[in-house]
Amino acid sequence: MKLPNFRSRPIFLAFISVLMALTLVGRLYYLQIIRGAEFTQSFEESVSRTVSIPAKRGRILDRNGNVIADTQASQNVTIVDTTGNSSAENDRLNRIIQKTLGILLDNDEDFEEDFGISWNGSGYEFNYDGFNHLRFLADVYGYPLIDTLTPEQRESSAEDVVFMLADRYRIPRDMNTSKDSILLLDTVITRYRLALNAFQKYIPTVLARNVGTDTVDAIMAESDLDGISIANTYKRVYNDSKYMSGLTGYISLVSAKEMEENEGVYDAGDYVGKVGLEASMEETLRGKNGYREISVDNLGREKSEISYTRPQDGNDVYLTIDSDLQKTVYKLLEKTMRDIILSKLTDSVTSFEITEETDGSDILIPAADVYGSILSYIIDRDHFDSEDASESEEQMRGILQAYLESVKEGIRSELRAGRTPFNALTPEYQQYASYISRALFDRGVIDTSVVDADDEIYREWTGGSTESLGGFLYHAAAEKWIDRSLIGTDSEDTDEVFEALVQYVLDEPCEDYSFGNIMCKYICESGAASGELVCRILFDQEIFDPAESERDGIESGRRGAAFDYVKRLIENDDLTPGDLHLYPFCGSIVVTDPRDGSVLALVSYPGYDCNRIQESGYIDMISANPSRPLLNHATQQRYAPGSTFKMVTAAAGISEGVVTRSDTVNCHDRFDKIDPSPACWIYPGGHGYMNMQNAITNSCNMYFYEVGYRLGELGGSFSNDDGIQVLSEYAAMYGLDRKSGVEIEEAEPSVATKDVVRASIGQSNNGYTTAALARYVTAVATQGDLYDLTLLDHSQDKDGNVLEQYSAESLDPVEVSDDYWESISEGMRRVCANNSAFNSVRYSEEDGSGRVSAAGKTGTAQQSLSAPNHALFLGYAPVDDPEIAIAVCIPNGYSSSYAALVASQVMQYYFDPDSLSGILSSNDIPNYTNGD
Amino acid sequence: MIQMNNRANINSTVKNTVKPGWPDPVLFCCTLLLNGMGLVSINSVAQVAGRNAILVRQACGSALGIVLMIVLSQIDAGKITRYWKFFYAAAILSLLFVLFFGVSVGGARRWIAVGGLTFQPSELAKILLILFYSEFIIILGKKYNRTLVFVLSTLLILPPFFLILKEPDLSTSIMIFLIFCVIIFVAGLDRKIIAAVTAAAIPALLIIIYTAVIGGFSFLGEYQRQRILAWLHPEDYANSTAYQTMNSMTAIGSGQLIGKGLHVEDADTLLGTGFISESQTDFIFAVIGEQLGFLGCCIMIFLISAVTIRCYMIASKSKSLHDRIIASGMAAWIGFQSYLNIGVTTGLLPNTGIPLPFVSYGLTSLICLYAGLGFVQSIYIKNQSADSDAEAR
Repeated sequence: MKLPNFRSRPIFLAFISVLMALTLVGRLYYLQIIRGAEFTQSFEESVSRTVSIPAKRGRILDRNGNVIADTQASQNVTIVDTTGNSSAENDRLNRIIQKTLGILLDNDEDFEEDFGISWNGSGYEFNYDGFNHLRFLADVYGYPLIDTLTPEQRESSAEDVVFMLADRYRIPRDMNTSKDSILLLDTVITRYRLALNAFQKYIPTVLARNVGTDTVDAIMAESDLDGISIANTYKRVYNDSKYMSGLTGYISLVSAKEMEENEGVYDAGDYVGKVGLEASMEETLRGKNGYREISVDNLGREKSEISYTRPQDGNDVYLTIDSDLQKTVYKLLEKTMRDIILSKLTDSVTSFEITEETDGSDILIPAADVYGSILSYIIDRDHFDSEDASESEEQMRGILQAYLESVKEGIRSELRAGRTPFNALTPEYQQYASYISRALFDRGVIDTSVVDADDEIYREWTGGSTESLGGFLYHAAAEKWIDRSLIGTDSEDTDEVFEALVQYVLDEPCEDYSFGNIMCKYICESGAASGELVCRILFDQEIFDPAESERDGIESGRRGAAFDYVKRLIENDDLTPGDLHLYPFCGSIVVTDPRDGSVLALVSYPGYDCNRIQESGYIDMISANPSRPLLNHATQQRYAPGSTFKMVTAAAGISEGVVTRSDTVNCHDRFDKIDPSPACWIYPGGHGYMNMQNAITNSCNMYFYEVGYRLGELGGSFSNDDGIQVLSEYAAMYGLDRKSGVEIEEAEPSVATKDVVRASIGQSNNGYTTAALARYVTAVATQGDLYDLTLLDHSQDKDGNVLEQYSAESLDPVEVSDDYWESISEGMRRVCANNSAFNSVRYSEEDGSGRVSAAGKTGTAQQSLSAPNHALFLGYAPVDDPEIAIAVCIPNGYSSSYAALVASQVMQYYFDPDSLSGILSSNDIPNYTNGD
Repeated sequence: MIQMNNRANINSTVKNTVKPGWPDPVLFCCTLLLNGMGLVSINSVAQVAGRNAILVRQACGSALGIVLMIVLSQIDAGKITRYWKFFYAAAILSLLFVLFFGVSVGGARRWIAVGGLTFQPSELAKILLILFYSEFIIILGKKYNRTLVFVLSTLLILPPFFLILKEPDLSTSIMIFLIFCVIIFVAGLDRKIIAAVTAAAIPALLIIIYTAVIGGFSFLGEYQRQRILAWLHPEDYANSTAYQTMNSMTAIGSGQLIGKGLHVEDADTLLGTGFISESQTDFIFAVIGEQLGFLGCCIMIFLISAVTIRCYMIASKSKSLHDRIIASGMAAWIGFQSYLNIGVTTGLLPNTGIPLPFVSYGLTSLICLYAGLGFVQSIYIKNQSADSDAEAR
C-alpha cells in the first residue's frame, strides 16, 4: 500500500509556528514594554540591600560627670559565606569555621549560641522543652509544621540531631575529647545559622562578641580564613555595675515585637534598653542608625557600595545621683546585713524554725543553713556527675541521691494517700509542694486555659492552705485540667491520669536543679551532709582561695573548722548576704536632697553585673537567686511601712481635729475598743500618758490606735470605712497613693483599705516602695514640700550642648498646722537623739566637726509569722535645714535599729566623707532592740 | 540564484541522487545569524563568569557544525538513512549507556564523558530518531496498513521516551514526543485519530494541572507539582521554585525596548550580579532579553521562525514522504524547543530545563542541529533539481 501525500500538513505546522512566535512576541511586549519600567525598578530593588550601621549609644553619667554607663569600641568576629557550592568548597567552609572556632575556644571567647542544643560537660542536651522543643526539632529537620515530624524525629536525642546536621553539612565527626564535641556542636550551629541566611549572605553572622585583642591578633594572623572578619562595633560598659544596676538596668538585643512596635526605628541586631534608665531614657540615648546601601549578587554577597548614611550618636544623660554616695550606701547596707547575719550565726543548733512565739532577739541562724545555702547556690552540683568529679563530690552525690529518693518516696505517699493539708505539712514539705505546684502550672501540665478559676478546690489550693497537693492534683485530673500529652498518657480514666501525673512529678519537677536547691538546706540541717564535706567541695571546685591552716583544719576534721571557715568567708565578703539567702538577703535605700527633690542615691541590694547580661546563662543564674537581684527592691517591692507611717496618722488626727498637740492618750494594757484587741509593742508594759510628740519619739502604738479609732468616729459611731477614707486622704496628701516619680520601673503603692486602727500604725494592707517612702520623708523633712522625685539632671549631645534640663516637679504642698510640724519634728529629732548611733553623725573637720542634728522614725513591720520582721527607718538631717532625707528598708531585717544604724552611717558619710574607713572597719552591731 | 539553477541543471542527470548544489540561502543565513547571536550572548556570560573556555568551545562547535552541515547538504539523506536500524539501536544503546555510566550533575545523569569532552545522548537521539522514522514509516508503509504502521511507530518511541525520562529529563522526553507527533502527523495520521487524541489530551492536561494545584492526589511527582504551582503563582515561590523564573522575567522585563547593551557591568545587569545561574544554557534568552531588549528578542524570534518555516516549506515542497519527515522533524525540533524555552524564560510555561537551539551553550545539541539542517539543505537541493528537472521537461 502506498501512503497518501499530505503536502499541506507542513504548511499547517508552519502556520502554527507563526502563531506561537506571535504569542511570544506578545508576551515580550507585555514584559518589556508594558511592564518594563516596573521590572527595571524591581530589578534595582532585587540587587540592592540596606545594611544598618549601629549608632553610638549615649552615656549615663552621675551629677559630677562620673561615667556610669559608657559606650566603647568593641570587636566582633563575624562570618559571611563566600564559598561556592561544590563539595570541595563545602569542606573548605567547614575548615574555615572550625579553625576560627578553635581560636575562639582557645581564647575563652563566648560563642554566640542561641540554639536548641548545648554541651553540658559530658553530653549534648536540649535547651528547651514542650512546644519550643518540638518547634526547634521541626526547624532543624526543615519542616514548616510540627505535625510533619515523624515519631522517630520527635524522639531523637540531642546527639542524633547534632549528628544529623553534621552529616547534612558533611562535617567530619571526630570526637575524642570534650573540646572536639564542643567544636562539632559550634560548627553545626554556625553552619545552621549560615544556612538560615542563605539568601542574604551579605548579612554577616556573628560568631563571638566583644572579643579580646589576643583573639583578634590570632585571627588576623591566619591568612586563609575567607569570609571571617573582625567587625568594629560598640559595647556597653557599666562601671561599678553592681552598685548601679537598679538604676541603669541594661540593654539587650531588640526583639521582633519591639521592632514592630517602633517601626523604622530599630534594625535586627540593634540593642535596646530593656529595664531601668536604659529603657526609660531609650529615646534620648539611642541615637539614629546609619545605613549602607549595597548591591549584592544572587547569593546576597556584597558587590559594591551604592550609598552611605552616617549614623547619629545618641545623647548623654546626666543623673542627680552621686555615684560615690550610691556606692557607699550600697556598701554600708551590705555591711550591716552581713553583721546582722554574723551576730545570729551559730553552730550550737542544727536547725531553727521561726514560730509565732519566737522573740526577734532569739532568732538564730544555724551554721547548717549556711552550708545548705552554699550547697544550693555556690557549689556547681552538676559537676558531681562529671567524669572528673572529686571524691568529696562523689560522696555528696550519693548523699543527695539517697535524700532525693527518700523525699520522692515521701512525696509519692503524700500524693497518693497522705493528703496532708498544706498548712499541716512540715516547712520542708510545704516548700516541695509549692515548688511542684508552680512547676506544673509553669510547664502547662495543668492547663490554665481550661481551669475553672471559680472552682472551690482550685481557689482553696492557690489561695488558702487547707487543701493538700495530692487532693488538688487528683481533682485537677478528675476535672480534666491536665494536659495528658505532656505526661505521656492518653487515658480517660481519672485514676490512670493521676497515676501518670504522680510519676511525672517524681520524674520531672523533683529532678530539677532548683528542686535540689530546696533540698540542700534540709540535707545539711539533718546532718546527712556535714559542713566539712561542703567546705571540701568548695576547695575542690576552687571557688574561694582558703588559707593553708583553714584547709588543714577542715581536712583533719578539727571541730568547728568548717564553721570558722564559712564565718571567715562571710566576714571577708566572699559570701555576701545576697549570695546566701539567709535573712536578711535584700534591702534598699533611697537618699534624696529635700531642697530640690532630686535623688542622690537609690540602692537596691543585691545588685548584679549589667556587663554580663549578654553572657549565656547569666540571666538564668541571677534569676534563680532567691534574693532576686533583677528586681529593684527600692521601687518594685512594697512592704508595710510599720511605724514610719505614724506621721501620716498624726497629720490626719490633728487636721481633722480629733487630737491637739497636747492631748494625751494613756498607754496601758491592750486597745480594747476593738476585738481582737491590739497592744502596744511595749505590752505588757505601758508608755503611760503620751502626747503627739512623745508618741512619735516612743513610737507608741496605743496613741495612734486611738487616733485611728477617732478618725473612724468622725461620722458619729465608729466605722472602719470612714476612718480608712480619711486616713487615705492624708496618705494621698503625702503622695503615698501614687508612684514617686523616679524614672524607672516602680510598683504602684497600696494604701490600706481595711482595719483603720491597725492601718494607723502602718500595718493592715499598707504597702509602699522605699522610693515612695523617700518622697514622704522628704516632705516631712521640708515640712510640706512634696515632689515627684527625679533621677535626671539634664541631657546633652556629644558636643556638650544641653538639650533638656530636668528637675523634680513640685506638687501641692502638704498643708498641716505648725503645731503638727513642731510636734513631729521634735519627736523625730528625739528618736535620733536617743539613739547612740546618731552621736557620730558629725560635720567634717573643715566644717567644724560639730554634731549634725538628725531626725528620724523607725518602723518594724511584720508580714510573715515564719520570717523575721522587716526593718525600716526614715530620717533627715540636719533638722533645721535638711540637706538629705533617707529611707531605708531591710526586709526580714529583724529590727528597725539595724535600719537606723545604716541610716546614721549614711548621714555620717554624707557630712564627713573621710569618716568612711572608720565606719567600714567598725564591727559594732547594736544588740537587737525590741520595739520598732 | 541563476548560478544555482544552472548547477542543478547540470547535475540533474543522475536520478535519485543529490547533485552538488547551493543550499537554501535564507535558511543558511538565518541559521548562522541565530548561532551568531547565541555566541554574542555566551560571550557576555563567559566574561562575567570568567569562563572564556565556554565561548571558545561553542565557537569551535559552531565552526565544526557549519562544516558538517555543508558536507551533509551535498549528500543524499537516503544514503544515510538506509542505516535506520542501526540509528535506532544506537539511540537506545547510548541512552542505556548514559543511565549506567553517565556523569551525574545536580542529580541528573544526562552526560557521557569521553576524554575531556562530555556528550549528551538525548540530543543525539533526537536526530537519530528523526532519521530512523523517515525510513521506518516508508519501509513498513509498503507492507502494512497505515494504522498498524502508526501503532508500531508509537511502540518504538516508548523506549527512548522512558529512558530519557529516567535520567531524569522530562523536558527532552516531551520534546522527543512532540517531534514524533509532528512526524506521524506529516506522515498522514488519520484526522479522526488526531481529533480523538486531541480531544482526550487537552482535558487530561487540564486535569493534571488541576490536581497539581489542589494538591493531595497528583499524577505528578512533588517536584513537578511545585514547578506547576510556581508557574501559576511565581510571586509566592519567588525565593524557591520560581526563583529562576522570577529573576529571568525581571531580567527580560528590565531590558525594555532596546536593552542594556552588550557591555557587562556588575551592578547594572542581573547577568552581572549572577541572579540567573547557569545562564549560558537554559536561561540564555534572559541574557538576550536583558542586553538586547524587545528589539533584539523580536529579531531572535524572527530568525527562529524563519528557520522553522523554511524547513516546513522545504518539507512541503518535497515530493518524497521520506524527505518531508526529515525536514518537518527538524522544523518541529527547532521550533517547538525554541518556543518552549522562551515560554519558560518569560514565565508563560512551567519551569522546565531545555536549551534554546543554536543559542544555548551545548556542543552535542549544536552539532546535531547542524547535522539535521545539513539533511534539510540536501533535501532543498534535491527539490531544486527536481523543479529544474520538471522545468526541463
